Amino acid sequence: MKQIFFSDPAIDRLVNVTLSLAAEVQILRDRQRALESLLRRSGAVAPEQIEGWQPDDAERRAADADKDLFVRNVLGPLAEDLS
Amino acid sequence: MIELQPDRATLAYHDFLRRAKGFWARELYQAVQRDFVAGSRNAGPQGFIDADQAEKNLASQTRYQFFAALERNLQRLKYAGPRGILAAAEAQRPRFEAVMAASRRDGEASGQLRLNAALELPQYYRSIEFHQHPGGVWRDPLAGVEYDFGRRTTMPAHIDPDEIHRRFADAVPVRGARRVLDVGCGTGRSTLPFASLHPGAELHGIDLSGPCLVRAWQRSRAAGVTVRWSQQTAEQTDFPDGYFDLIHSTFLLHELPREALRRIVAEVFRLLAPGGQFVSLDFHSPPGGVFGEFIHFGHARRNNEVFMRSFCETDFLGLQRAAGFRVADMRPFDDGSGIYGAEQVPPAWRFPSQMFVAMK
Repeated sequence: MKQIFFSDPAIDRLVNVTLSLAAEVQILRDRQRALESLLRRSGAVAPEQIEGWQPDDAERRAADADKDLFVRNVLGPLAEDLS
Repeated sequence: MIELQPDRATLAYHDFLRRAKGFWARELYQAVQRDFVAGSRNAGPQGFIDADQAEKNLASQTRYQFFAALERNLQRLKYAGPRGILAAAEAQRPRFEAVMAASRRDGEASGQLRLNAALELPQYYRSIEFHQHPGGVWRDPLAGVEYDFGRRTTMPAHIDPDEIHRRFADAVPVRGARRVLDVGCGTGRSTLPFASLHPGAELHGIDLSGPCLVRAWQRSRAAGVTVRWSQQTAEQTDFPDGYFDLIHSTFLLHELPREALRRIVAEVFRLLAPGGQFVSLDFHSPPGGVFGEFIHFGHARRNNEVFMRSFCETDFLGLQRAAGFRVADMRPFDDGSGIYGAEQVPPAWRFPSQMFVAMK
């Protein structure tokens, strides 16, 4: 059953649009990160390599920090004071 | 053990949901708490008198609306939608169904898995999609695999979804039991940690869900542990009187209507030998006073935890004593996020985990 939290249900829909869109951006960023890393390592990339790319420890730490920052940047305004 | 193997994009999607949940559990939760304190100040000298008054007041405030909408929809998006768990399972359905069917045959042939297709599932269990799992965890043969994948993304602290079960098995104040029963064992994550702590014990797990029990059999086989899994209701089992010296449950009690809860406690009492113990890990008495209840009851509504509030409002210790238990007490349980006093507000959202210990 749907639950509505805002006085205008359009906002409920927009929340879902925003979350879905942000998730899609995160997916693209993940793919871009893989692509750049593979290019750095070998200078050329076959598409199937992207699917299997695993970061090394330093890349993983950087990716974790970047993903958390992305979430804070996108969702941060929800927690901020308006005044 | 066979696991869902989503593609890179789906994994990145779930990684985003988990991190967004982390933001929700800290920053947004703390902002709502500030609004709660301000609203409480305006409510009168005593502040909000209960969770319902707080809910009524904050429901019209933008920040709480976003908090509520994210809580509901981050969980919904985990399962539903083109990159949700159900879609990931659907993409691999023929392979998974074949594996689950083979596991079922192997398990039943081994005598360690006993399913009962004729078991009549309670109406509440069939009709409620607990924690927003579409269709529940009993209908689809893939439900156990889906549930296991979902457990990895429930909360940022649950990246290792077995940790809380190991903590609980460790905290149970019984060692060397001879016969141990896990009621509402699900996919067996809560059952297996008891094997090494009770060496040589005869281990049993019961659940209403056939798909989850097949998954549990896969888990015990992979771990090289013998567990007798059977599909039956904990309200009325086929074990003899006094058969077990330790019975435990994990996150079962808050899913039960009060009458089922009463019947299960009576059945557990029947199954325990004198001196035997019933130890449960569940959600009760949220810390943080009215704020804690306001957050917990809101979570119950938003996550389809229909009986979570009524369990909180049940005198569970009194109910156990009325069933005949000599001793019944509740102890704070550290799920990894610490232990908080009754009026102490945790710095981040957490389940109000408690351990119940009752002795026959």
